[in-house]
Parts: sequence; structure tokens; C-alpha cells
Amino acid sequence: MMNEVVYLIANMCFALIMAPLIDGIERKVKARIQNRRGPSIFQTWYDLVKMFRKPSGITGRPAALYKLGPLLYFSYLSAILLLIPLLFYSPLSFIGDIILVIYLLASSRIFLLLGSISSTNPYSIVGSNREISLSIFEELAIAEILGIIILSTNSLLINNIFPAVPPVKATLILALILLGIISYIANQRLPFELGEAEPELSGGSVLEYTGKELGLFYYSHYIRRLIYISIFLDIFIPQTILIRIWLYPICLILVSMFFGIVEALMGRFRLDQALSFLKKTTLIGGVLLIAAVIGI
Amino acid sequence: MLPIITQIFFYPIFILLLSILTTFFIKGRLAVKISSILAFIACVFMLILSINVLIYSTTYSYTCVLSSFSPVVSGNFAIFSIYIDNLSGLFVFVIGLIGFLASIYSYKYMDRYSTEHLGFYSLNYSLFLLSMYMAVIVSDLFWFIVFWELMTLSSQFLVSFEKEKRKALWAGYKYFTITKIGSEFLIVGTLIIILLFNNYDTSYLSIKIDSLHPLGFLAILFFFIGLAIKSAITPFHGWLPDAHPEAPSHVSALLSGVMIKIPVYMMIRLFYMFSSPSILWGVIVSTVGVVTIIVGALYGLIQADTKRLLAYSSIEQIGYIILGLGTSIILYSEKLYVLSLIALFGTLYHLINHALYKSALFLTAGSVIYSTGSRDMNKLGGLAKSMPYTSIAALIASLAIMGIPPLNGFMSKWSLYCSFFSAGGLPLIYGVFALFASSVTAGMFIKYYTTVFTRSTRRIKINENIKEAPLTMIIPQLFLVLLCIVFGLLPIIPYKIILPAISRIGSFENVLKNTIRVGIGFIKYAEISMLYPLILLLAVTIPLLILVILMSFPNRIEYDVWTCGSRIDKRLIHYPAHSYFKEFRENFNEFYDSSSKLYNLFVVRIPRITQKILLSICPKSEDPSCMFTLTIFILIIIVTLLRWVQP
Repeated sequence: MMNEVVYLIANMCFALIMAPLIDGIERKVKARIQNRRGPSIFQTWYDLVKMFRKPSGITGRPAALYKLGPLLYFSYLSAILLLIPLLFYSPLSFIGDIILVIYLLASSRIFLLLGSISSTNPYSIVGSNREISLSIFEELAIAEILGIIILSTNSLLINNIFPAVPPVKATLILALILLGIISYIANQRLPFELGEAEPELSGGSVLEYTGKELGLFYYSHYIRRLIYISIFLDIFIPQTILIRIWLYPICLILVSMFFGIVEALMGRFRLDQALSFLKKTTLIGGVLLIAAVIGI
Repeated sequence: MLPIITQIFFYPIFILLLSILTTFFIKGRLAVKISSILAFIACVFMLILSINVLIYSTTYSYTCVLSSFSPVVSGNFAIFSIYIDNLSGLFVFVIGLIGFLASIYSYKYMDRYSTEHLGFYSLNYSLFLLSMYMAVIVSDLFWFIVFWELMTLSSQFLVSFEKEKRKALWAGYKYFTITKIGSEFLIVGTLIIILLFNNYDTSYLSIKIDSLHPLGFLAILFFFIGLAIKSAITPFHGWLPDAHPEAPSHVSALLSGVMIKIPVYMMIRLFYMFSSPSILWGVIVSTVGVVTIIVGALYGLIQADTKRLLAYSSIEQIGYIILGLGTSIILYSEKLYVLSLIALFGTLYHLINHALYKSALFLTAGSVIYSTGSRDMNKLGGLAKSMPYTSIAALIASLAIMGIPPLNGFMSKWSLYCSFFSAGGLPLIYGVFALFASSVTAGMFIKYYTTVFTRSTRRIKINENIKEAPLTMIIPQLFLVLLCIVFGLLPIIPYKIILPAISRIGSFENVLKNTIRVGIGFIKYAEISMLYPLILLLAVTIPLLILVILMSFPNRIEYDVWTCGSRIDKRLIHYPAHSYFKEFRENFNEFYDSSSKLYNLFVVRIPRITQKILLSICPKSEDPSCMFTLTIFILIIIVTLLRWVQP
């Protein structure tokens, strides 16, 4: 019992502290690729602290939902940190928790979008619309991957699904590659960063947020990235504490560095390009799912 | 037991009959008030009855030999028998609950209609409630069909009681013809059952259909088509998006929340009690279920009329219910009883939840109509300030239907997904599609809520001088929304209500006994999920509370919406509802295109082909079996054609 509480708290603290640091590392990597020295890896933390010190802004209109948006975004994401294995395995485990995690991820985003649409700024509405369109496709791909994973592991428990045990099927490996792609897309990294799209929508879905709310939004955003990468990693990394405790942070940093490199080399897609890319991904996912059901 | 309790199932009948009689003679606003109050009282009795049945496991039965009163009545109609078991009790609960709130709502809401046809409306309103109530408590197929037809007739008049409105008349006409054909299927099915047994006893207890026998298969098929038409399952869903928006909003709530569930009641009886579940039927039912989900979701996403959007979402949600039922049948026939029980539990849980949040949503749309007179999402906007209570109800009901944990929509979908994904094979693929559709639902209801309530107000007439709806219209909405929260956080309540309803079915009784003894499987599963929502709530609210405290330092600045630095009237900037998800729609063009191609194919070609066939078959008209087949074909064609009837 005591151990489990310690694990939960350790997981929580690790994620809350590491998330902005990982972004700091990514920024460093991107700067190096673009022949710059780049800021220190703690720069993201400095930025966040600065934003939290500033006053929050109110646009006057339906303020309640607009204000609650980032708050609920953060709370739903932090609830996920209790459920998935991070530095240690998650002691809270029950049948169907994997579906709960998917729903919590989706709901956190819905709250953010409701908040940003409620700011009544047309740019925010356009940005949110784009994000919803993307997220519907993402959800389809995630559902397909989930189906394949459940088929190959026969379990609805996150702790049983991760890590996948051999014999590993071909469809499972392909599904994992797909999961990697989706976890890249779902984090609004560059070719798919359409909701905010600084140059065209000048911030889009976060345009009206300032100060504390903006800080909280970015903070949750980093946590969200960490969650996606962790879900992706948990499939490879064993649950044994002694291995996990050093392998997991290293892999986390490596994957995010890789994602950072990819992001530095990419330009932004137009929405239709992004959607048709996602559409192809979901089609591949569908084929894989059928193959997995047949038993390949 | 007290005699007052033993006869309680009569009270709603008497009260509603009284209401029908009074409104037959009284016209105008008084009739509405009388029928609302009497319906309210009747529904309270229904609720008491259902709680008696579900909590104390009382069964009521009553038989009346009608032929002793009048020698004219004979055959199957000679005996009128009522038998209320737990399954009926569950549906009486849904009818009572939604009817109770809809009646409160109608008291003020009907003020917006002219007095001319209100007498007619009130008569049909009482008749509609009565026929739904009777349809679930009678225990004979013949009487079921009688009340089923009465339900169709009265609800059709409720859709089109304003005779001047051409659109409403068309919607009512379309609804009536399609569902009438559905009931013909039920009649044919009953006839086949009679043929099969060679006797005329059609009470529920005596029907045992062998689903492997060709005639038995045919009987189930006809029953299924008949029921599917009424519950708007995909090839036959055409009547619903026209009929529901035209009806008064509380009637829409009843139609959507209750009436389209009555076929599900009969389906459970049909597949679990009249015949033993077979894998073929499971596959058929779950396939139509998943098609219904996808069609409902994708068409709902592109609507720009509040009540039409809600109507399409009803189609989608009924798809979840049918898919759950189909999966349960598949799992049952594979002898995976525990999973099957979870699927059926999820189905009925989702049924109750859908009744709650969809009724709440229709009532909020009704309040918006009452205050602004409009259902057009392109024109409405910014009502959250002027209608705060309606806005809160709409927000929570929208979140519930999107499936945000820990509200009730998530809890029922959760148990459905657990059964889909554990089942593997076909249900798993369908589960993937269902999961996808629920993200489309999220898009749909973000659109509904934000366009109507939070977006900037457009400077047009309907958005001026808006007042919050009267108290009798707010209370039902808030009550429904409260139930949404309670049913999500405390799933033990629906668990206690639903489990008695399904525990008597087939092998479930044994499963439940065994698992209680061993302490694994369903019961353990259920107990974990029972506690879980509260833990989840804590996990979400603790950081939320800390944040609210941290963020609410009075250190705050106010400013205007940023509009690229130029000084424009904010009300001119407007993102219309039909622009929502435009790119998404373009990417799903294959889907929308192919359905419009199907339209061309059917509307243009089929009448010609049928004409040719008819001419060639004409000489064979003395052959009864040939004509019988032909009639069925024509019925199916008419149903599919009527889908596209436009006013």
C-alpha cells in the first residue's frame, strides 16, 4: 500500500517536473539544427514561471467557460498521470482503464476547445474548428490501434497491455509505428500544428488567453506531449522497476529529441493536406485492423 | 400488500382516459393545462409503479375476459391481459420519468402556439402517453400491435397538429406512412407465428420461435424490420429527422427519449424470450447498429438546425443501443454469458442515459425556440448571457452525450466498449467505428453548444430582448441534467434498476448466482466501476480546486476581443454554423457523395423497375404466395423510397 502511494506520487512529480524540461531539450535540439546556440534547457520553465506571475485577462463575455477551459484541460490531463505507467507502473489499474485514458485525453481537448470558442474571437473559432476536424480523424486512428493492441494482448488492463509480450505479430509492430505517427500528430507538432498556426491565425485557439491561463495552457500542453510519448514507450519498456527507472527517462528524452528534429525540418501543412494525410493513415490502420482480426 | 398498491397500474390508465375525455370536449389553452396536469399525475403513478416493480421485484398481472362483456369481441382480442415484469418496469420507469418532466414543460411551452388546434393536441398528448404505457405492459402480441398503432397515430398528430404548416404536415405524413408499413410487418410476423404453431395464443409466455426453422427465421425477420422502422435504424431512418423537429419540443423529447426505445423493449423480448439468441441474428443486429451510428453521426455533424441536429444524434445514439444489443446476442450465443450480460447492461444503461440527456437537449432547444422563435444555428448566438440556466443545462447535457467522464454518457459507453473490445472479431471492429463516431458526436455537440450559446451575438432581430424561459420550463431541464450527473457518479443506482430487469433472462440468472458465490467476473467488475467514478471525480476536482484558488487572485485585466487591431463592431464578425467542419466534410466526400448517388439510384430507377416487374407479374395475380412475396417487396421499396420524400 505504502509503496503504491509512493509510486503514484513519484509518477505525478516526475511528469509535472519533466514535461517542460523535455520541451527545453527539444528547443535546444531545434536550435542546433538551425545553427543557433539556443536557450538553456530550463528556458521553458522560466517562461512558464513568468507567465504565472502575470495577471490573467478576461474578454468580458461568457467568462465562466472561457476561464474554466484551460483549468479543466489541465485537471483531466493530470488525472491521466495516475493511470498510465510512467517512471513506475501505475498502481491504479482496473478493467477498461485503457478506454478511460482515451476518453480522458479526448475530453481534456474538448474542454480546451469549448473554452477557446467561448472567447468569441473568430480566429479562435477557426483554429478550434481545425483542431476538431483533425481530432476526429486522430480518434479513428487511435481506435484502430487500440483494437489491434487489444486483439494481440487480449486484455483491457493498461498494466497487462504494456509491455507487449512476444510472440509479437506483424500487425502489432505496424500498429505501433502508426501509434508513433499519431502521437506525433496529436501533439500539434509542426506539419500538423494547425489550431494555433501563429503566422496565419496568430495563435488560433489560444489567441485570447494571456498570463496565468496561457501559462497553464502551455504547461498542460507539455504534459500532454509527455503522456503521448509515454503511452508509445510503455509498449517496449518492461514493468520491472530496476530497468524502467533508468530506461524510461532516457527513451523519453530520445524520442522527444527525435520528434524535435523532425519538427525542425518540416513546414506547416494546409488543413486539407493534413486531413488527407490523416485519412491515408486511418485507411492503413483499417487494413491493419482487419488483418489483425483475421489473425495475421 | 395494500390494495391501493396492488391496483396501482390502473391509475395511469384511468387518469389518462379521463384526460382524453375532458380534452375531447374542452378546447383552447384550458385543454393544454388540464392535459398537462393530468399527464403529470399519471406519470407520477407510473414512476411509483416502476419503483415498486424494480426495487421490490413485484410483478403485476391482470386478466380481463372481454368476450364476457360483449359477444362481439372474439378471437385474440377476447382476453385482455396485463403482465408487468421487471423488463416492462424498466420501460415504465423511462416513460414515467420523461413524461413527468415533459408534462411540466408543456404547461408553459404550448403558449407559443395559436389556440386553434390546442384541444386536438391535448387529446393526442394524453393518448400518446397512454398508448406508450399500454404497449409495454400488455402481455399479448395482438394487444401490443393495437397500442403500437395507436402510438403511431397519436404521435403523428402531435407532429402535424398545426394543419396550416405544410412542412409539418409533410413530416407527419411521411412519418405515418413509413411507420405504418412497419406495423404491417409486425402483423405479418404475428401471422407467421400463428401459422407456425397452429394456434391463436399469442401471449408472450407461450411464444417460442425456433430461429433455425425457415418460417421462424422469417417471423423474426419481419418483426425485426417492423421494429427497426419505428426505432429509425438506418435504411429506414428517413422519417425521424423530419418528424422530430416539427413536433413541439417536449413531444420531441418524448419521441426521441422514449418512443424510439419501445422497439428496443420488444427486441429484447424477441431475441431473448421468444427465441433463443443465435449468432446470425447477433451479426445482423449489430451490423445495422453500427451503420446507424455512422450515418447518424456524419449527417448530424453537417446540420445547421438545432432540432434536426439533435434528431440525427438520436439516430446515432439508438445505433449504440442496437449495437450493444447485437453484441450481447453474439456473445450469448457463443456462451460468453458474463460478457453478454455486461453488453446488455450497457445497452439498457445507455438507453436510460440517452433518454435523460437527449430529452434535456430537446428541452433546451425548445426553450431557445420559446425565447427567440428560431432553430437556425446560423442566426442564433450568445444566449449564455441572457438564458443562463438553459445554457448550463445544455452544456452539461452536451458534455454527457459527448461522453465526458464521469458523466453518465461515458459510464454506459464504457461498459459497452468493454464488451465490444473483449469480444474480439466483428464486435471489436464495430467497437472501433463506434469509438470513432463518439468523437464525431463531440464535434457535433461542440457545434450545438457554441453556436447557440457562446458565440458572439449577431445583430439581427431574433437576438434582441431575449428573456430566460419561465420557471416551469427550466426546472425539468435542470432536473434531467442533475440526473445525468447522479447516474454518472453513482452507477449503483442504474445498476440496481437494470439488473432486475435482465436477471430473469435465459442463463443470466445462473451467471449472476455463480458470480456472486465465486466473487469474480461481473460482480467484481461492477463493483470496481461503481466506485471508480467517485475516485475519478476526486482526481479531476482536486487539481481543479487548487487551480481555481491559485488563479482567482484579483489581479486581473479586462480587454476586448482582439480583431487584428481594427475597430469593427464585434457583432459583425460571425462564424456561421454551416462553416463548421467544412474541410472535414470535404474529406468525407466519398461518404456523402455515395449516399446521394444511392438517392439518385433509388429515386430515379426503382419506380421504373418496379413498374416493369409489376406489369410482368400481373397475370400471376391469382397465385397467393407470389402476391404475398410481391407485397413484402413493395413494402420494403416504399419504405426506402419514402426516405427521400421532401416537402
